[in-house]
This record gives sequence, C-alpha cells and structure tokens, in this order.
Amino acid sequence: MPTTTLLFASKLATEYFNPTTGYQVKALCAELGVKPAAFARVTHRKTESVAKLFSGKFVNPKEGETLHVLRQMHQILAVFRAMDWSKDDVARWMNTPLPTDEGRTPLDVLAKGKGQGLVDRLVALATGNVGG
Amino acid sequence: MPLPPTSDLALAITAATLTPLPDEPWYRSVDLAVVVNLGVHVLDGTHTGKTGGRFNSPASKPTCYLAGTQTLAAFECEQAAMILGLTKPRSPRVTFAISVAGAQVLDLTNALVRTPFGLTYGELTLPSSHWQHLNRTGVSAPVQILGEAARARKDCDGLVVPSWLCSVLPPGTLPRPNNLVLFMDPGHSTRLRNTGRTITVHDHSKLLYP
Repeated sequence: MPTTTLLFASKLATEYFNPTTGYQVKALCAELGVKPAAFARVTHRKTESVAKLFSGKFVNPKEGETLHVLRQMHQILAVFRAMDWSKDDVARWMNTPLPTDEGRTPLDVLAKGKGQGLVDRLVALATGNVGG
Repeated sequence: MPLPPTSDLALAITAATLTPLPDEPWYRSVDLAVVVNLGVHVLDGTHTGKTGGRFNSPASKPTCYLAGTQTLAAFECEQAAMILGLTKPRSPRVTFAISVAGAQVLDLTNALVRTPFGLTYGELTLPSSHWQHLNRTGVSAPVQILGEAARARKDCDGLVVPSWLCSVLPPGTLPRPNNLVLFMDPGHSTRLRNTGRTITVHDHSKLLYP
C-alpha cells in the first residue's frame, strides 16, 4: 500500500488536510515547529510568497515542490502522532542532525526533496523492518 | 573481493544450492502504536523496499527483514532509532514470532554457498553506513546487487545472512546472530513473491490478528 494512502486512511492529522481544499499550512507547520522562514527555505520559495500560504486558511499550492513538501510534512506528523510524541519533541526532532543523513536535519532532508525517504524509514522502523 | 560480472553472478546464483528453512521462528520487533494507528501490517516490506536495505537496492520490490532472536530484533531497531534521532521515550515494542517453514533460501552464512559470489563474511557485515552512503551517491552496494540477483531466481524465497552485529560483538555473544531477508509479494503482505509460500505471524495475544 503506498504511504500516502496509508496515512490518509488513518485518522491521524487529518485536520490539516482536506482532499478538496488542500492543506492548512500554518497549523501544519506550527505542529512541526516549522517557521515561515524555514518553510520558505525548504520549499525554495521567497519568504513573501510563503506569507500567503500562512494565512490560516486551507490552501492548495499549484507548485509541485511546495505540494510535495506539504505532503511529506503531513505524513511525518501522522507518524509522530501515532507515536504520541509531543509537539515540542517533534519540533526538536525536525532540527536534529541525523547520522543517517550525514548530519543533515529532517528539515534539510525535506529541502533536498528527500522527505519521502524519511517517512519510509520511520514507518519501516515502526514495523521493525530496519533493513540491516 | 569484487562481485563477479552480472552474467556470471546470475549463473552463480542459479548454480547455488538453496536451503529449506527449518521450522524455527524468526522475530520482528514492532512499534505497536504506529502499526495499530497507521494500519500497517507487521510484515510490511514496502517501505524498506523503497528506501533500500542491506540486501535490497533503493526503489526495489517489498523486502522483509526478520531477526534470528528476539534480542537481535530489538537490538537492530534500537540502533536504527538512535541514528534516526528518535531518542525520546517511544511507545512499547512487541516482538512477534514469525514462521516461514519450508521456504527455500540462499544461506550466506555458509562459506560454501557464499564463496562463488566473491563476497567475504566481513563484506556482508560492514556497518549500515557503508551501503547507505553508496545509496546516497546513487550506487547500489555489492550486497544489494547480490540480493537483487537472488530475488530474480524464481525458486528462491530469500537469504539467510549474518547480522552486522557479528562484526562488532565477540563470537558467541548472541545466539543465532542471523537475519532472514524475504522477497515479498507486492500484492500480499503475508506471501512470498517467488513461490507464493505463506508466512505466519504468531499472535497468541490476538492483539493484532485475532
């Protein structure tokens, strides 16, 4: 089953996503401790253009990269919700250098367009399938 | 020692003797909360298929890794959690016993089986960072190439391999320090890809599979 289907099928973090209207970017980023400047860096957008996405409404960005990052952030949040981590702990993890990624933080990994790999590794670890 | 060229590797795989797995359990340590809340199967191999594992290249078919003992299953997960930065208290893990009796595997812990592939025991147990680093540069590790070549053999269900812990712990520290790598059917969580054999998850608690 593809990860996206898997996470959307669960009841976790659905308040930040609606298939019709898109993502509640401001609230989703707040849950992960991602500030507008960091979101701009991760999505390679100008800070001013990010402000519109942080309006508090549901938005459906047309840009593939932004959408891609939002989808991955939403899945990361769903996994941590499943693990019952606090908002502060998740925010700290998003800025923790990872030995698996040569010291890059999860935010850096998202910026490199490799966020899906992080989601897959988190779910693989949850099922004990760490791959040796 | 390098792997033989692709065609020779395929020939060596075809010529290798497969071993039927005895009726002994293998183990998997599972984060119960995530499995329940996300509805993931205990034998899920999709995500490791996508990210790559020691014996499967990134973007490969679903691959399932099981440990020889409960201790080993927990130990490997603990290490993976630490290097993924998951140092906060986590929900309890439950270890499931899993049976795959009769499955035909390539036993790479046997030097007679391993030698034609040109890989030493030490190369099979290099730190995870070795194959992970190669993958980040877009290259598959020799052990992953070997794994994918074994998957292509239609009567081969998987591999028995030494755990990487064998390279850091003195011999005899852990009983049965081996892992079982299974080539999974992408369409079915409990079925093997090549032979259609079924895998049994023993859940006597009936927590997940009543």
